[in-house]
Amino acid sequence: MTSYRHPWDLVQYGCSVVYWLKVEGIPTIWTERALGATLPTGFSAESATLIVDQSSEIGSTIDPDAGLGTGLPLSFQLQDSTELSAYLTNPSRVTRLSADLLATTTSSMSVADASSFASAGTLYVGNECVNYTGTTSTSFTGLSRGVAGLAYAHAKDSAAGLVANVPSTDWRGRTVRLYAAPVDATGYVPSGTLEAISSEIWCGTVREGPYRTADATWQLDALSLDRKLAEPLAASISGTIDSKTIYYSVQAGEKIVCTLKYGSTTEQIVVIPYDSTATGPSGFTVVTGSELRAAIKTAWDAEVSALGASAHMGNLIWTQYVGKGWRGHMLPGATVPGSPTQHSVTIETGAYKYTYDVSLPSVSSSTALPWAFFDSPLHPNQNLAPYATDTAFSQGSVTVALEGVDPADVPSSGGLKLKGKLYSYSGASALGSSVRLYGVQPAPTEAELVALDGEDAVLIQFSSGSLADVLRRVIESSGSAALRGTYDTLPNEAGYSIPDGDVDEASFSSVVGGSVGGISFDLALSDRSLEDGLGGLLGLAERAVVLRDDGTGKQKLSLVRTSPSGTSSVATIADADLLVSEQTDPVSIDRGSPVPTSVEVELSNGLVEAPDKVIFRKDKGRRQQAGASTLTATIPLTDVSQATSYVGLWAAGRFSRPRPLSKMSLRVPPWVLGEPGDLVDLDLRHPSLYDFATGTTGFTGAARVLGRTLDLGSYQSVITVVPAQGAGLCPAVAVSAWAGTAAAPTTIDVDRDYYDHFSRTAELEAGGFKVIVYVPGQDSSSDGYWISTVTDTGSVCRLTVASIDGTPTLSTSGAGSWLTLPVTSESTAFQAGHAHTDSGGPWT
Amino acid sequence: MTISTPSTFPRVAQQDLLTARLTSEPLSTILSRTNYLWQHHQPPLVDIAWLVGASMTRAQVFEFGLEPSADSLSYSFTHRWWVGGTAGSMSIKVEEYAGSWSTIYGPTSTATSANAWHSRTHSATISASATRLRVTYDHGVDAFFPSHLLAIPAPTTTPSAKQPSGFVAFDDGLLGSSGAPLNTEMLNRAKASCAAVLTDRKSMVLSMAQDTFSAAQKGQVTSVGIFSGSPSMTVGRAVASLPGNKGTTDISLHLRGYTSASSSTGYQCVVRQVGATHSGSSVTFDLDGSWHVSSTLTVLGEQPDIEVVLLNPDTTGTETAVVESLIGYWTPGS
Repeated sequence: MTSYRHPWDLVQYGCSVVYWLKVEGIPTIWTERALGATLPTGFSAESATLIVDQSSEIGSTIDPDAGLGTGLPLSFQLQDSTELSAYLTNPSRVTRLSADLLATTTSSMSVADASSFASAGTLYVGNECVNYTGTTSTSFTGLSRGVAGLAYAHAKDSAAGLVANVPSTDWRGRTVRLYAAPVDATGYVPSGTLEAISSEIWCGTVREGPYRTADATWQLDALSLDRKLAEPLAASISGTIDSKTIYYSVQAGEKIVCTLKYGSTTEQIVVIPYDSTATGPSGFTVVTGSELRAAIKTAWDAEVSALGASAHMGNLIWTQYVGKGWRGHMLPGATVPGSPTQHSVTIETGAYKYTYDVSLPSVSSSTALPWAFFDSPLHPNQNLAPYATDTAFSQGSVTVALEGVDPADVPSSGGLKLKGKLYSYSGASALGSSVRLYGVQPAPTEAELVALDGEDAVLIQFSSGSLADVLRRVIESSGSAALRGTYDTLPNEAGYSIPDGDVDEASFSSVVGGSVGGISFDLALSDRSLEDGLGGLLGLAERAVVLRDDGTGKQKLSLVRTSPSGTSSVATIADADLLVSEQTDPVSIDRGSPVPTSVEVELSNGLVEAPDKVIFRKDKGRRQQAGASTLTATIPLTDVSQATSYVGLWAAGRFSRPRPLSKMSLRVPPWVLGEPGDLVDLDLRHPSLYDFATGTTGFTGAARVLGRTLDLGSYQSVITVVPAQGAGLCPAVAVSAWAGTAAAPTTIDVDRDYYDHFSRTAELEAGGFKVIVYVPGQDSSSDGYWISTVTDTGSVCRLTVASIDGTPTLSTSGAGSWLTLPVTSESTAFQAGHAHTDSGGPWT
Repeated sequence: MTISTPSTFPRVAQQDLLTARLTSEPLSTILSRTNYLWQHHQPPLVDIAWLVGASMTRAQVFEFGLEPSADSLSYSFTHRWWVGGTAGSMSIKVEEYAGSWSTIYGPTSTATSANAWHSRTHSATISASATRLRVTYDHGVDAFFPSHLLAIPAPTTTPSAKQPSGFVAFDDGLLGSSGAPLNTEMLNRAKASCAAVLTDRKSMVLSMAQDTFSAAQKGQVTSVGIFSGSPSMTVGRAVASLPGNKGTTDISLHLRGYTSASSSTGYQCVVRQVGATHSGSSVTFDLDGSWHVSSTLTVLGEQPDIEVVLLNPDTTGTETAVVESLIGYWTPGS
């Protein structure tokens, strides 16, 4: 546990920093100088050969309209060293996987020949480093997966299935993490593990390298992690429907329970045509209709035979209804007694169970009983319904002839698009050059399948749910369930396989509310990136996914707001924070794009075509005067009425802006807080700034951080902000507890999230500040408290009451008591920065 | 401090949103809409056309399941009936069941004229814990025909305290002050209070109730629902109206039914959605004389086609299967 929040905090007191980095699957730490600190788990060596300060600036900047951070790349060099040479030498021992290796397998790895390898040691497969404790002639055993990185699933027939005693010399795709550790003027590095004393300041993946440079070093170029989200995911797979033979997919254990009742006697048989030992691919047995009928009859006959010769249940016969299907009948065995009786049929398919009863007339053994075993369960009284195995007993199976695609590349579950209609499937297996899909829902009928023969089919991967869930699933999914986190649920290549440790999952829930909180949709990203599929929605809703410090010295993908308004700033940037040099001005201005006068939104989720694909909204009056300026976007909503409602709100927000969002770039020391998405307060007098609120030079007020970069050599940071164009709403917080009495509290507890707000108020108003108290529904502005100090107890924000205005009485029952800011006439300068009636600014 | 409830639905024009300056508007108007909603959102708690055969000459009693507001609201009841050839006096009594029966209206008598339609409107408060309602019509020995009952929420005031549903009224004491804070709670309150009212007041979207005057005559005032010697019979098929419901939603069902057989085993009622597009969901109730409640009938779309089927295992033609009352409630937005 360090006593500083960030290594940069120590720089302002005369310390410096040392950079070091990790490359995924390479168990050596690369440092600028020997640190001698405890190495992270999985790493066995330290090499002081890193050259990183020649890189261009690092960091991320948000493009508000694209909804995604544009992280800057990192280039670094490694000098020749014994450690590096060992990694960049052709392997002396090499073999291949002989079976696919799951990401979670730790028992053994099957290979063609392990005899040349040491009996225990380290091997490399793909980008993964694996330790093993034993070998057989064709396997490695006792595996420790994902050493110095992550575990992956490996296919035996891929180039990545090569197993060697050294890593591949092509490091593309490996994750790079750059850290800064503090070091004082004497060269002292704080004690503790290397990661504990450092902050992660950049994260991305190797795009090229290592390659030899003219100055005899090895260079690697890496892309920021948020740029990975701009790379397209797997394309959809095309083919044609092959319905020359109709197949049904039956889940193992599906059964038909038939009960015959007469008088007080009951006979019952349980027919299971395919038991669990006959399970085929993905838990399904795939058969033709005739095979299914034969299997049912075989199982039926065995059951009836077991009842004995006196059984009243008899043979099963099938009757074909041309063009519709088949229907099962039973010939009774022994003569059924003449009294009125009944029989019942129960069909069980997984969790589905349906029973219906049919009265049974008096019959002789020569009469076929009119049992319709497989009628649609929705119409049990319609006895003439055809035998419909695909709606009741079995599930749909569709064969798709692929066009130039290896059937093994078809994900084991996903979507099937046929003639504009979307189906889902839950199993797949290769069938020559075709793929057979199982568990197709809604199950097409036999007649539908026949009609679909030769039709174009598209196999497509998609995610459904709220914006927060779809984002997290696409970011984390690896194709191996839950490998990268709880949101790793999508098939292979349908997500970016980024581990949850690199994702601020909570931010996606907390920031996704407001105007996009109720949105739910389907999204397919075939051959498209997350930026392509969701960037438009995020941009319109003024949200963005960006790589940023999560406040603990860890770079994480976070969902942040980009709107130029809000409250709860994290810092104040004043003139004294600006860095001036001979070459550069500490402040630069980007005048920003014109305020749009129209918004054009295309509806496309990659799955189905919206009936009216484009929604157009314009501010007619302003468009006539200021000219056309159109903001365009694509969003995944396909419900036109829903999309129209949202687009109207978003467009109104854009149209109402009084002027373009001009960006200010402020050159500051690295310890000044403000990550992309944060709010900061500005108190600047720089002549290039202008404050529309006061009509004076400089700017005082809140601003949204849209970017932050760092020069690794000079440590200078540039924070890019857009000034608020309207005050944020006043905070209001419920009282959770108090000390003293309800009428005379000495301290008041509120949610800890408000600590930053109240502590900054106290900081700016040393003499104390006032809050007013009211009960929603009985709103009054007359009562309040003067607060002297604000304390973070670790669980709540505690306000110490200095004096009481009026005669308030606190309560937590009903709507409870709420604290908010006083009316303008009583407020402090800090509080006046929030929205009050008569403030004069715009609602934003 | 004043809680004002507009008499007409206040509107906020688009330009008021586009060019709004930081004053109490449009937030004040938006919040006042929640007060309007409280008094004027009136989905039918009861909307039943009584299932009766012909003009009766005795008292008729109807009992059905109920899902009232959590806020113990006052409701406006409107009864409608036909009187035959003899003028007389109609007595109406309404009782609620919340662990025990209690009268919430009447019995109140009204003089009636012959060969004419009549109606009576009155208010009554239904407690949040009520699970059933019982309505008794008595026109003495004179023939009459009870037709319909409609009960809609009709609160006359907007309360200041937070209601069990979650509704919190808007009082202009704070926002009406000069320089008052425009705070997050007020903005959120507008949405939360609307959601509370909309989801608290359930709408009766499916209804059927037969006379329960005496045990011997349960449900037998009509031939509908009485059959025998058949495995199943469709009692009825109706379209429920769920405006705005794009996907699937659950309907909460309340049912009581009987059989004349000594054992109720196998005597059941199936309620399900049918039609070209349907959810595939169905609910099966035992016709054993007990009240059954199920919230698992999932329906698809704005106008689901609901079918009610009785299962009667008797083949002697003597035993009956009867649904006395079947009620379906929908929570808009659920």
